[in-house]
Amino acid sequence: MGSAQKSRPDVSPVQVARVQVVLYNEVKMERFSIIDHEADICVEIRGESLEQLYSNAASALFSIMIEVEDTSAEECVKKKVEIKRNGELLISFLNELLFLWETEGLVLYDLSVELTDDALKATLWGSKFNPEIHTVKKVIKAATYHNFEIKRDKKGYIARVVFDV
Amino acid sequence: MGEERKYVKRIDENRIIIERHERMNVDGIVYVDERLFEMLSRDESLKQVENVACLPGIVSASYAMPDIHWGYGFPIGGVAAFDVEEGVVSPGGVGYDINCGVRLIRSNILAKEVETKIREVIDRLFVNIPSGVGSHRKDFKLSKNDLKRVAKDGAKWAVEEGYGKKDDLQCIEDGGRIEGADPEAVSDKAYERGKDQLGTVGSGNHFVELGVVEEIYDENIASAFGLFKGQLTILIHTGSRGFGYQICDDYIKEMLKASERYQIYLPDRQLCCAPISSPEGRKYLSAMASAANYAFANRQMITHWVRETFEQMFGIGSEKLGLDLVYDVCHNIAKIEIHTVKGDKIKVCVHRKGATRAFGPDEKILPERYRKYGQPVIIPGDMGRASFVLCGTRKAMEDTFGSTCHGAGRLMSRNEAIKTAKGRQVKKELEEKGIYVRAATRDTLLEEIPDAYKDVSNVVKVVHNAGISKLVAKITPLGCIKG
Repeated sequence: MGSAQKSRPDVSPVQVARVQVVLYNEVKMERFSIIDHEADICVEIRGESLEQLYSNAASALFSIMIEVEDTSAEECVKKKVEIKRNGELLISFLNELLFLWETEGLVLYDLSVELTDDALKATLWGSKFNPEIHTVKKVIKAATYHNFEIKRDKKGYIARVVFDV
Repeated sequence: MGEERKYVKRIDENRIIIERHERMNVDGIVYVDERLFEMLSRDESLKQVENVACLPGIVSASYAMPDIHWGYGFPIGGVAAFDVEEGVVSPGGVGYDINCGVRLIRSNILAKEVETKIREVIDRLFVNIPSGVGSHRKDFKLSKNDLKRVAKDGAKWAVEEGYGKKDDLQCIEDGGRIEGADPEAVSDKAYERGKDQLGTVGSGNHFVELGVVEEIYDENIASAFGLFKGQLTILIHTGSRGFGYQICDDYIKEMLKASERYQIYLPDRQLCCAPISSPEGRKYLSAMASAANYAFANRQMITHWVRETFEQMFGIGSEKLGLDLVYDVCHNIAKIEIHTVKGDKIKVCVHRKGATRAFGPDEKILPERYRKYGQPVIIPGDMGRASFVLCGTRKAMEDTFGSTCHGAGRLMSRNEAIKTAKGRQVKKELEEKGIYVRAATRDTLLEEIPDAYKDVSNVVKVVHNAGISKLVAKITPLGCIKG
């Protein structure tokens, strides 16, 4: 796992904010949908490629948990993570993001995902949790393995993940 | 669900049986009356009872309590005992929030005498007890070594550090310290996640609630529990926070591999498990006990801050206010216990996931003050209705490995609850009923509206009528801080 940096050299915080707005709007409409589940939250995530599926799952997780009101005054945080394939990679990735959220207060705005034969490498951009601009809607404890599946269809990949809340 | 219903038969007015079929090793037995059974048609929880019945070494039956609802892997409200020699232990049978539980504190304050001060007490509790994301006491920092002591000693550590008194420990399941905890079985990530969260309520359905004893059903037992009509009470509901979630996640990964290694058939991967006697099984139980102890310490510290808040508010010591523990129970746990099955005493690992231990009279493990009556069982309801105190029974020892329900049980999904609550002033509605609520997380009040839950009165009625616990008192809420 890489260390946090306080700036993103290629994109300014304002640009990141725009990326994030577009990302969340898209996410709400197309990239994932919430399926009714009594106690927990079940999410169906889509992606044209596996990388996009992972990326959309991460965005779904944060858009369920947090509403971002204003990003203009924020300092950008960039972080690299690498997760070795050990069990279900998507579940491990989502739980790693929850770990970073809880221990470092990382609120994810944008990410790029690279999949290799033995690992997932992701670059994460976001900011540190700030109650003045981030509203916590709900807190997710974990991504579970219950009814977890990744399927393929003509449009790409579909994953179902149940989050414990 | 339709196909499976052919195996479902009613045993009596409080129980149904799912007859053993296909890969089930035992029957499923669900404690529900007709009304609660109808509500089950909406979800997959009965299928989950069947799935648990397929696991190796399960003894007697796969049980579910009347607050059963669809969980992940095991149903919420599920109870399953596994033979320690032939059976398995499953992190999914405990859940992510290991030892999520509840404790009840009594007082010698009459609620009507402090009616006008409830709002202020709640506001002060909201400041003194960290709730919601990222909040923790700035006057409190723990090293990894301290955390290892918490994992080993639980509430005992907290009392030794000055959070509460020695007498509290007697009124906590297992004395607030589960034996066999091994801090070395806990990952660095869990310590990292747990270091700032000890002494915090968390979010979701966790809370600290002030209530009043509205009704007594059994004067004799209520008096033994120190409860009387009109009394002000405090309920604390929280668990092992991120420390427990991380331990569960770490061990699910291990157990997925172990299930393959030991060739265990899994109807759902979230049920992954290992033989109790295997290195993987023993290690999980040691890590789980560490998280359970963290949760006991967590509730103990919050108790201390509740007492401090009352002292500040009323200018009287908490001893004089009579702020003593009635009891502290685990809702998500796996415990090695000895039970009598068909006349033989056997050692089993009882998984209670959203269920409460309800040991009956004369059980040696109970504190002397309660031994004659049975264990206090605390069942929190939703924000707007009521909570109940019950007492464990001999019948629970015979029928359900000394277990009963744990709460109301959800009726609506969180989405449905938010939709139902849309446009409503939930906080105001509750205030009109005399319940003052402060919540740290935005959607909590909407997701937790009373309509989202089954009526807890119907749930406790079933366990009372079935004889697996006995109604003692009803507590109605006055105010609450929610995470």
